[in-house]
Amino acid sequence: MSLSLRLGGSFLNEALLGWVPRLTLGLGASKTSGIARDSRLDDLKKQIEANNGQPPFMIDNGTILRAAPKKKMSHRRHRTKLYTPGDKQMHPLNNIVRCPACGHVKRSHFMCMHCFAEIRTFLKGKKRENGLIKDVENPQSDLDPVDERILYPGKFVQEDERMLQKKEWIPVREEPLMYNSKQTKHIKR
Amino acid sequence: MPSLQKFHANVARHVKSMDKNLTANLIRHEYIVTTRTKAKRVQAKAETFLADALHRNDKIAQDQPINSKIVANRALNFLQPPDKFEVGSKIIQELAPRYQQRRSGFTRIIKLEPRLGEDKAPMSVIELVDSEYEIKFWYTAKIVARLELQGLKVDDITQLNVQKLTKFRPEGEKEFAAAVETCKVEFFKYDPETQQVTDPEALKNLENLPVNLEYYGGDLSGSLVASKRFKTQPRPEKEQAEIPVSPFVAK
Repeated sequence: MSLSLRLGGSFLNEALLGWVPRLTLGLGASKTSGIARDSRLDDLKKQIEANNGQPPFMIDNGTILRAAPKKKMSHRRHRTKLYTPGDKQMHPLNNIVRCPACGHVKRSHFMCMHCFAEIRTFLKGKKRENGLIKDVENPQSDLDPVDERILYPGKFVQEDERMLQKKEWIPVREEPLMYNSKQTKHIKR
Repeated sequence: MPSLQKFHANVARHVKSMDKNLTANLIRHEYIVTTRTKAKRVQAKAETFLADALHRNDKIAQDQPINSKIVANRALNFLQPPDKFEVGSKIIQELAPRYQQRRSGFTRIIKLEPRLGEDKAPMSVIELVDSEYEIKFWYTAKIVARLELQGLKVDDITQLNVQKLTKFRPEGEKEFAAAVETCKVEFFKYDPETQQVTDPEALKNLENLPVNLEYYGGDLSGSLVASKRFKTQPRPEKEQAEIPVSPFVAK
């Protein structure tokens, strides 16, 4: 299939076939016709001038190449695209504020997770001090090293097991950015 | 085929036992981190249960031993039988004196960011108020500590929060002041002997000031807690009117 056919429409072909030769002469005439000029034609003019009067590679059969659908969109596909809920995109967070306790960014009405992690660790330590959390001590923690080597001879750990033991697969929350009011979006009312 | 999920949120007896377990653990640990749905559901149950248990505890004769108090308190039958004595004794010994001035509002839910897992479930903390391990108390103490280290005055909203947190807490203001000092040392690496922040990272963090400093002891202080809807102004003080002496009063 020729490109001109794919880029379809006899109307387009005729219209642009008329346009391209005239472009080299000058575009002043188009203003008199009263039709709004396609801005891409200006680009084309620049390209032709830069190319010593020769049409650029992208010109074929007097038309400008444009993205063209290969197939007609089916009825179902069309309607699914148009009429299913369109709220599928990721939305920017507009409720970002400064955490007054650490100066990092946080969502308004939500606890700052940076502070929460700090406070939770602190409170766990406090509970441990007060005897509410009792750590179970390993009864064999004070084994003689010689005994330990005899009782528990070293086991060869495979590469994948070693990687798993690093626990890198556990997701960790990122360190939040410091708040800067210039970087947040302000909604004007 | 065996089911992976043995515990369902739409089976009544499962939901009931979830409520009981979460209530018991909330009282046991003072705060728990759960998904938002569970936290909201258990909040209602825990509030009702605590109000009922504390009310009945007031009616029971106080001079009997703790075990007979637990047996006499019928509200505690809500708990699972193995939890009854452990959690019941904590309610009678710790929570009853703590919540003498409260008849409701024993718990608070704080919204957290979604869980970092596959399901991205919205999480929250449910905590007992006026506890030693109250997260909002320590968060507010951290805010005040930071402002003090920055040399700023406390803004309106934080002042309001401090007032709410210390209102019914026994020796609240004293405890809060101590918590602020602890927060300075714990979170900002403040050295109380030299009265300096030594850690360079903490110093850099303290450089981040609030956007509008007018709210922190400036011209705008007092404007945030004022109602924007009803623009009320304080009533001018009454002038002392001089009442003329009655001619009928004997001189």
